[in-house]
This record gives sequence, structure tokens and C-alpha cells, in this order.
Amino acid sequence: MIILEIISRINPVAASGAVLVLVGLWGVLSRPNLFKIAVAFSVMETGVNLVILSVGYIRGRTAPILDSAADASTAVARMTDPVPQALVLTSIVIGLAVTALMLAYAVRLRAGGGGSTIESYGEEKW
Amino acid sequence: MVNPLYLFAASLAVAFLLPLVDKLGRRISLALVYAVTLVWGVVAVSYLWAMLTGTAEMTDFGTAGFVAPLAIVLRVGLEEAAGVLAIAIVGLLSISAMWKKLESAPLGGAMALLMVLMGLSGIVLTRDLFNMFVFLEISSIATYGLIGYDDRKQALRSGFKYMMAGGIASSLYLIGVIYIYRFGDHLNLDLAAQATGLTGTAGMVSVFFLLAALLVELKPFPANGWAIGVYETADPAVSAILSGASATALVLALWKIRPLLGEAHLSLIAATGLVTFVAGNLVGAKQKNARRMLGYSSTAQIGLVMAIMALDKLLGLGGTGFVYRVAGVLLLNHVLAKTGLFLLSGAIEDAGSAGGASASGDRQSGKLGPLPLAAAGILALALVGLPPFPGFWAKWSLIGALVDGGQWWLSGIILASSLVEAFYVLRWYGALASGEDGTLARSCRDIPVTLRLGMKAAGPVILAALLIVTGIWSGWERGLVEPLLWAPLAAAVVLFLGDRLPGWLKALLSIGAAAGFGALALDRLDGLKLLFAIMLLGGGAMYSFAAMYRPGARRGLHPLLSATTLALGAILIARSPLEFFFAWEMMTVTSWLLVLRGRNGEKAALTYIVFGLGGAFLLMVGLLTGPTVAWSGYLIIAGLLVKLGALGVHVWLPGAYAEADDEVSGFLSSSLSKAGIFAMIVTLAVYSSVPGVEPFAWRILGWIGIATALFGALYAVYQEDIKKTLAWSSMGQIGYIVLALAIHDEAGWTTALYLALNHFLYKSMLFLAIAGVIQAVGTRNMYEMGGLIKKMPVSFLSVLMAIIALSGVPPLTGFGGKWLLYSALINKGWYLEAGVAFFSSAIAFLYLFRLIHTIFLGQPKTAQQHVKEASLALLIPQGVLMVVLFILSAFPKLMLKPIMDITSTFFPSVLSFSGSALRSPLGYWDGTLTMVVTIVVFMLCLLWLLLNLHNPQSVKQFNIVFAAERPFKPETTHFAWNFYAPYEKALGFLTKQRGERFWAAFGTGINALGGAARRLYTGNGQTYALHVVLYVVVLFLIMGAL
Repeated sequence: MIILEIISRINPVAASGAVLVLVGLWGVLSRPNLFKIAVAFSVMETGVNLVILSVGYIRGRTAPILDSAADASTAVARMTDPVPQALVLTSIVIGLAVTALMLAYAVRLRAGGGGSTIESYGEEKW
Repeated sequence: MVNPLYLFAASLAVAFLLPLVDKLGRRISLALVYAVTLVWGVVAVSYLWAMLTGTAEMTDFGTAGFVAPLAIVLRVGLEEAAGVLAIAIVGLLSISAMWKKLESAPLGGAMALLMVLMGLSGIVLTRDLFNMFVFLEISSIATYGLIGYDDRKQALRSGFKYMMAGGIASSLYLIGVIYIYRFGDHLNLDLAAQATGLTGTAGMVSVFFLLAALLVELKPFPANGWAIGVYETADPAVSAILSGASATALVLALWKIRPLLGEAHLSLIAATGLVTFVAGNLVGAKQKNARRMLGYSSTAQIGLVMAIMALDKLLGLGGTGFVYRVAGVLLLNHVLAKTGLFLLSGAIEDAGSAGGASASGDRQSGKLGPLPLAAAGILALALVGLPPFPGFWAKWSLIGALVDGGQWWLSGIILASSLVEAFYVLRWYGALASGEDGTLARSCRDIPVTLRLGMKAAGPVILAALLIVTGIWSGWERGLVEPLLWAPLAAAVVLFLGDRLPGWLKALLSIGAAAGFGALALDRLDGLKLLFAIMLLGGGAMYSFAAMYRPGARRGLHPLLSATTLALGAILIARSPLEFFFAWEMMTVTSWLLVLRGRNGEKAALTYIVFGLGGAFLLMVGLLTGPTVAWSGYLIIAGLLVKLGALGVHVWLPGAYAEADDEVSGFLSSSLSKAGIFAMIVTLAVYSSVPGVEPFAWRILGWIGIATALFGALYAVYQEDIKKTLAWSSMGQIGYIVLALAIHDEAGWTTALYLALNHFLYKSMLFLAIAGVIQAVGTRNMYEMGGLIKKMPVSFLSVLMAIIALSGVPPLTGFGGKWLLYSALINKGWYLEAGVAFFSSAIAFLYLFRLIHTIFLGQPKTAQQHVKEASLALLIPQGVLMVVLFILSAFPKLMLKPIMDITSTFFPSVLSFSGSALRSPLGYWDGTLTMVVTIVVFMLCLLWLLLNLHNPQSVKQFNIVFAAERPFKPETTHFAWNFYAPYEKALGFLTKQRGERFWAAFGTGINALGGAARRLYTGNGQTYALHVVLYVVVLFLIMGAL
């Protein structure tokens, strides 16, 4: 019963976000293919975005939209926090740019006659 | 003050407009990029100006009509304005350097450049944590674009690794920010810092994520492999932005979040910073590629800066303003120097691959032109924290604060690591100056002629000038307002600018400078200082005169010689430890450059500067501790012994004295070494009254002196190279002076000063005469000379008088020196020391005899039939010295009376004069009588010889041929070859150079450490990513333990 209690207190969004971050990180560290690394980063960013959202989400509250239906004085107690939602938009855009650049790099590297794995680009060392 | 939002708007607008503007021509778009960056710089200057003059204060700018917590706030304070200015300067210079490539590359390069600079400035200005993330990402993404803008494969493959690490760091940052918001309720830095929620465990962990991300971006060891590759392969101008501008922004970001950090966080920063400083330098020392080396050096420098920021708060170093004066100044120093060096390496590479611009063929091949070379030198010297550059002052304050706080280990680690850094940076500069190897930059292995970098060197030159200005400003601000202390720098600059003038004019200017310095400082020179001023300033002027013996402009020589001379003068007039150390380091630096100027001086100069700086660091810690405890005096003395070339730490000496230009060797040996003696006298005088100083320590010092004297003489005996002989001889003679100082009473110190002055006289004569000989015969090997007495009679006479004075036989001054030394030793009861000293001077006879015999006596070599007497520039000083030596020998009172006046201020009188006789408790010596008697005896013998000289038979050169034995080469039948073979069999085992072997092994050990550490850098991007992850995990675990 205690276990169920603990599980029920875990924020499901944050938990799934954390799992995605770890999966992404695992991909970054273990998949040598350049394109798969880019994909792994995408997964990781998605996880991070979920974590951000989880902080703003408060169970049982409504969307943070102030209109005639909502009373401005009690809004703070009745709505979820809008700030993380705003932040996550920026974060998504940035993630997109990073993924795009990474893929562009991978394409340029392949087009330059290089291999498709990260191991083939280790000349600068020591 | 201008609202910085307009600047962001301008940057963004121009970046978006560029594709349109580009239709009008690439130059216009580049000019626009340049103009926007310039506006950033101008506005930053206006901020700084307003705040420094007090017309404005630190201002917060809200956005969209709100202030925090409702909106992002930008803050303009002193450090923000300085940071933005630094970014703009680096940006402007980098754009200029990349101009050509940006013209041909796709437009994205220019846009990315603009965005990098804007993003970095944003990091500096913003007070909002999430906004900082946005700017971090803007600059990162733009950097990724910029790394690959010219589509080179090396840059692309390094860039990919860079992105991987950057991606991990940005994820960490985001997680940190969102939980800081969760527990601290604010994204605004100032509000979050006041939040109580961040003090708990959860808050600490959230801050940790933020901190870890910033630390990873600051490239700590070992999680920095991803950045090193980019430093190495990207366009050097991009590397300059990364190393200069990006590091500035990130350090300021760390500085801004400092209020959020707890003690555990700060300890992490300090530890990781110091580890990075040490490891970065160790690995840097192993690098052959200049840019990779600069990359490691960058990480090391930034490590030091962040460690200081953390230590300041942890240990409470130096009070308010400490971080600005130390970390801030070090950062400034790093930005200017590293940017300049990266730009320079790029300029050299471009010029090199273009086959070199037009150049006159008579210069030595592969050398840089004078201006780029000087700029490179300034940048390198600034990088390793030598005066007068900002890093020097910062390091002094830092070590001072650490010593005050009792942090001996920290100061030791920082100084040792700085020494490693000095080693490899100055090695690189040495190679650059000697035009050797491909160490300059990647593709410069065969630079055919003198490189004319032209406009490309403008960036480095501007940065070098900025370093000089900021360095002088930092020194001025620390109270070095005495103009004479800055005279060496002024002389170097003025003479360097006039370096095209003929040699004689520059020599006259140098002499004038030395004389002027002496005249201006005269009222501050009491007896002791005046005596040394004669040897240091007078000696410098004399060697400037002698330098005319080689025709031509002799570029570089006069500025350095004059600067060294004036630095020696500055040592004499220094009133505070900082002034003294400043002058001392100036002297070390300029004399190092003099050695480096020698034809094969590269290796010798490196050893010279490493030992010189090592000694200086000991001196520094000792000076900063002050004369309150005995061991600080021991540290100072140890540092001075390194400078004097005492046995064991003498390994720099033979090379430096032998490989420098011939008259420079004389200057180093006869003048410069006296600076160490002067400092030693002052130190001993100060510390003799400090409680806890053991008389036993003087005894040890005495034995160090006597061992130096003995082994210097022994090493000198078996040299074939005449300058090596003189070098070892100098070491031995300095040993006697140290011994005499260690006696520590009036007789001892009188002896020491007498020996010092005497050494100055006869070593000058020897070196000047030998310079003439080497010029005439074109070799330094003694067995290749012979019979020069008839060709060079004046030089012969000079050498003859000098070796009589050196060996200590009557009638010349040396006899008095020896008499005084033995009297003082016996009077003190140091009988064994007296015995060994006697034995050593017997050995000195051997090399002196060899010297005069093999060079001047015997048969002239056939190839040297047309040798002429040395030039007047050498003979005139020798003539003067001979006259002085003779007068002082005949009337020793002239010299001894002033010396005894000096020493009797330190000790009760033991010696006294009665008439012309000097009395000691053991007996008396009458120099005038000795002279008369000797001359009479000599004349009698000469007459007898002349009367009995019937029918002399002259011997031909190779008359001594062994029957039926074929020599390997002609020299081996020459008597001068292997002159002392029998003695070598008897005593040779003593001359095995153990000191050299010890230090070589020591160097190998350090090298191996660096070699082991750099195995981490495998080149694999995933390994680097793993390093980042493990680094963060380890930091987290350590934080948990703290």
C-alpha cells in the first residue's frame, strides 16, 4: 500500500520526462551513427520539455486563461502556472534549431566523403 | 544610458536584412555587420565612461514596459559594460581577420557571426535565468553555424562533437532553471537569490544542475575534449571568439549566479577550476600544434579565473574589489592575449600557405617581421603573467592574498602550474622567434622567407598595444607611480620604434638612457646602491657601446639591452616588494629575450627563463610573506640562488652565457649576475635581525657557495668551447661571492663586495676580448685558435691582466680578494671552507692557463693568417677597464675604503687601514707595496731573459707528430685538443653533470604526467560526451559528500 502511495505521489509527467531524458542520453552515448545521435538528442529534449511542463502543471486546476469567465482575484488558486508553458515553447523552438543544425552537420560530413559513424571523426586528439 | 534593447534590435534587424542587403554586394553586408558590432562597442564604452566618471550608476532596464518579476530585466553595471566591450573588441578584430573568407563563404557565416556576438552580449546583460538560457542557445547555435561556415571537414567533425556536449549542457541548464523556478519561485536572478526555497536540499540540487551546465560550457578538465578540437580546427578567428568572447560571457554568467551558490557549490567550482588549471597546463606542455596548445591554455586560464571567483567567497580573500582586481584582470589579460595569439596564428598560416609575400632575401628564412614578432612576444609574455602586463599584477595580488590567508598549498600549486604554462608558451615563442618548426601554426612547416603579415597582423598588434596600456594602468593603479620604474619599458618601446636607425646611434641613445637614469636616480643611491649602480648601469652602458663592434643595425639588440640595463637600475631604486619584484621580472624577461636573440639561443633561452621564473616565484612568495618569519628569508635566498646559478640549479647558466650574443654574454655574466648579489645583500641585512634565523643557515649558504665555486671551476677546465669556459668560470666566481656573504661579518661582506666589483672588471675584459677573438676567427672552439698574440696584442694584454686578476696572484686586485677571503674565513673559524676555496682557485688556474695558452700562444693557424685586432668598440672599454684595474690594484684603498664604509653600516668594524696597508685581525696587506715589488721582480726576470736570449728556434705547428701514428683529424695532434686529459682521468668523475640529469629527469616526470592526462582525449565524440556526463555525476557525488 505504501508503494502505491508513493507511486500515486509521483508526477507522471515528470517521471516520463525523466525516462525520456535518460533514454535520449543513452542513445547519445551508445549509438555511433550521426543521425541516430541527432534523433537521440531530440528524444532527450522532449524529455526535458516534459519535465518543464510538469513543474507548471497542478492537478485539478484549469487552463491559465483570464477572461470574463474567470475571476481575476481567485485565478491564482484555480489555474495552473502559465510560466513553464511559455518557457517550453521557447525550448521547443531551440531544440528544433539544434536538431536541424546537427542533421545539417551530419549531411555535410557525409557529403564530404566521411563515414556515417562518430568513430570515423576522431583525428583531433591528445 | 542607451537602452541595450536597441542594440539587440539592431543586431537582429541587420541579421534578417542581410540576405536582402547582400544583393547589393557582399562588402556592404559585411560592412553592416562590422558597423553593428562597432555600435555595440561604442555603446559599451559610453556605459563604462558614464559609470567611471560617475555620471551614471548601475541601471536595470525592463522589457515590454515591465520589470521583474513580470518581465526580463537587462542590467548594465561595470562588469557588464566591460564584458560587452570585450566581446565587441574581439568581434571586431575577428571580423577583420575573417573578412576575406566571409566574402567568399555563404552569407550564413556573417549572420552567424552577428548572432554569436549578440548572444554572448545577451548572456552578459540579462538578469533572467531563462533568458540567459535563450542567449546561451542563440550563441551556441550561431557558434555551431560559424564553426562550419567555411565547410572544412576538420572543422565540421570537431563541430559535431562540440554540439553533442553543448546539447547535454543545455538540457542540464533547462532542468536546473525549471527547478529553481519551482523552488525559488522566480526566474529573475536577484529575486531567486533572496528566495528561501533554494537553501534546502532540493534547491541546492536545482542550482547544481544550472551550475553544472555552466561549468561544462566553461570547459573543465577532463570534460573539455569537445572544445579543444574546435580550437584546433576552426578558423582561428572563430577560435578567438570562442576563447576570448565566449569565455568572457560564460565567466560573467558564472559570476552572476554566484549569489545563488552555497558553500558546496563554490567548493566544486574552486576544485574543478584548479584541476583544470593544472591539468590544462600539463597537457598543453605536450602539444606540438600551436592552436591545440592555445586551446589547452585557454581552458587552464579560465579554470584559474573561476577558481579565484569561488575562492574569494570561500576564503574571504582580499576583501571587496578583490575579484575585480584579480579574476577580472586575469580575464582581461586572457581575452586580449588569447585572442591576439589565435588571430596571429591564423595570419601566419595564411601568409605561409600563400608562399610568403615579397621579402628581401638576406633575412634569415622563416622569421616573422619585427612588428608581428614583437606583438607575438607581448601576447605570449602577457599570457604567462609577466610584467608589465595585467596578468602580472593580478598574480601578485592573488598570491599575496593566498599567502596572507595561509594558503601555501594553493599558492604553490598555482605558481607551479604557471611555470609549466610559461614553459610551453615561451617555448612556442622561442620557436617562432627562431623561425623553427611548424609549431607556429598547422601548415607552416616551410615558410620560405620573412613573413610580411601586413594588415593581417593589425589585430594582434592592436591587442598587444591594449595589453601594454592596460598593464601600465593596472600597475599605476597599484601604486607604481615612480616614472623611473617604467623607464625600461619606455626605452624598449622607443628603441624598438627606431630600430631601423644605425647601430651607433642606438648605442648612443642606450648609453644616454643609462646615464639619464643614473642622474635622475642619483639622490636615491646610497653607498651600496651606488656601488651596484656602477656595475649595473655602467656595465649596461659599456656593453651598449661595445655592441657597435658588429656593423649594421643589429635589430632588437639595443632595445632589449637598454631595457635590461634600466630594469637593473629599477631594481636598485625599488622601495616596496612589489616594485622590486616588478623590476626583477622585467629584468628576467628582457634578459631572456636577449639570450633568445643569440644564434642558437632557443634551447638555452628556454632553460634560462624557466629557471629564472622558478626562482622569481620563490622570491615572490618570500617577498609577500615579508620579514616576519625566518623561512620567508630562506625562500628569497633560494630564489636568488637560482638566479645566481648556485650548484644544483645552475643548469640554465652555461647555455645562456654561451649561446647569447658574445657581448650579451659578458653583460649577463659581469653585470646582470650582480643584481642577484645586491638582492642577496639586502635580504641578508634585513633577515639577520628576524627572530628564528639560524646561524647554521649561513653555514649552509657558505657551503652552497663553496660547492658552486669548486664545481664551476671543475666544469670550466674541460671545456673546448671558450664561452662555455667563461660561463662556468662565472658560476665559480659567483660561488666565492656567496661564500663571502655567508661569512656574515664586516670582513666577509667587504670581501664579497670587493670580489663582486673585481669580477665585474675582469669578466668584462675577458668577455669583451673574447668577443673580438670570436669575431676574428669565427669559431668558439679553443683548439681551432692559436698564436693570436701577434695579431691581437691588445686583446692579449686584456686577457692576461684579467686572468691575473681572476686567479688572485699579485699584483692585481685578485690577490687582495683572495687575501680578504682567506682572512675572513679563517677569522670566522671556517677552516675547511678556506681549504676547499683554496683548492678551487688552484683548479681555476688550470682553465685560465688553458685559455690564454691555446688562444694567444703557440702557432697561429694557417686559416687565421689575416686576422686583425678587434674593433675599437671592444678595445676602448677594455682599455678603460685595464687602466681602472691597474689603478685599483696599485691603490686598493680607493676601492676598499668606500666598500668598508658600506659594510661598517651593517657590522662592527674588523678591518682598518693604516696608510696604504689593510689590517685584519690576522695580518696586513699592502697593495701598493705588492705592486711595486712585483713590478721590480718582473722587470729583473724580463731583463735576464732578454740578455740570455740567444738564437731562439721557432717550432712549426705540427712538429709534434707521433711516430707511425695517424691522427684521426688534425686537431687531435694539436696540444690544445683535450688539453687536460690527464687531469680529466683524475678528476673527471666529479664533472659528470648530475644537476642537468636531475632536472632532465624532473622534466620527464612532469611531461609523463601530461602525457598520461592527455590519453583521455581520444578524439571520439561519444567519449567526450561520456566525459561530460561522468564529470557531472562525479561533481554531484562530491557535492553530496561536502
